[in-house]
Amino acid sequence: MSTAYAVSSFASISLFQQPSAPNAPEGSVVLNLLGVTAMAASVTRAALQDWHRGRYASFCEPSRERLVEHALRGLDPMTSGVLLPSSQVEQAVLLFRDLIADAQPTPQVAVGEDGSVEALWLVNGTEVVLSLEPDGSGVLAASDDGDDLFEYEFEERTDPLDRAKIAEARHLLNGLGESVAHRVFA
Amino acid sequence: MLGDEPVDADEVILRRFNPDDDSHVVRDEGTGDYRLRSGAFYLRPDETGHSSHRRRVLDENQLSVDLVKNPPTYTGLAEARVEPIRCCEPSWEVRPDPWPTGYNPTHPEDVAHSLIVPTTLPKRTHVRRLAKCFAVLSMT
Repeated sequence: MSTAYAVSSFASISLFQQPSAPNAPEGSVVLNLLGVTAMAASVTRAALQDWHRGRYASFCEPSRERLVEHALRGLDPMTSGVLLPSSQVEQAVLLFRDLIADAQPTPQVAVGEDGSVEALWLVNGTEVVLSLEPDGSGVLAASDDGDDLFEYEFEERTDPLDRAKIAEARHLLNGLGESVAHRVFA
Repeated sequence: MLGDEPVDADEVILRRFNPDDDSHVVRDEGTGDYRLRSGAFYLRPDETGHSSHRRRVLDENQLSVDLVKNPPTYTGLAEARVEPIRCCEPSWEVRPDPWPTGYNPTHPEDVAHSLIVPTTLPKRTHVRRLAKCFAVLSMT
């Protein structure tokens, strides 16, 4: 990305360079070259600063895509040692994509010995947890220092989680993202 | 102490866990502290309760808490008071379970062994509440 930025900047600079007059002294050519070099260096430095700023921002406030990717890594049999049924993985992927937004806390996903999936977000004692059992049932719950905020049980086929409950959890997660000081990221 | 005495509400029990297992521990991204999660309390079909050890019995028999660890895997240690465990809804009971009877030279800590037994069939929510009663003492 930085290379493309620099190349396009160089192209723009060349448009503004006046051709040297045929009888101009040699010194003006040197000065002209020095000016172009200085401008190019300045533009390149600005591009690099933007690139570093982008990297820093993406580290501090991970995008939705990075958080979803991190959550899905927890379902990988190579990570968990448990091969989940495809229906359970699909259910998890859909719910992660609905719940997760930019700059939220990190979903800490684990697969239990019994094949259950648990995604847990925890910030300063406030937690949101999504549990998915192999049979399609699950719980979306939140608590604050032990006090229950909400707890919704669901069943994928007969009683799926409705949009309002997902939105409630997502709203809570958005707020928790502001207090993240010790980011968990692989 | 023989370890078969009733467990008092003000006692502290210890539970070992695997700090490298993501299903056992979770990190609080605000404080940076670690906490146990439900995967650290998986009850296998042949088990009636979660294994734990009574700190009072270990201390009175001059046994180190490090004996509760089971390296190289179960090197993490967490502790909880008995009272909040009993107050979970539905509740859990902590029962003395010194095994085998008498002094075991290879595992002297067995004198302090106890079981955390559910009073009803526990759901995952109940196990999560149990996990929250514990504070991590050691991750290594």
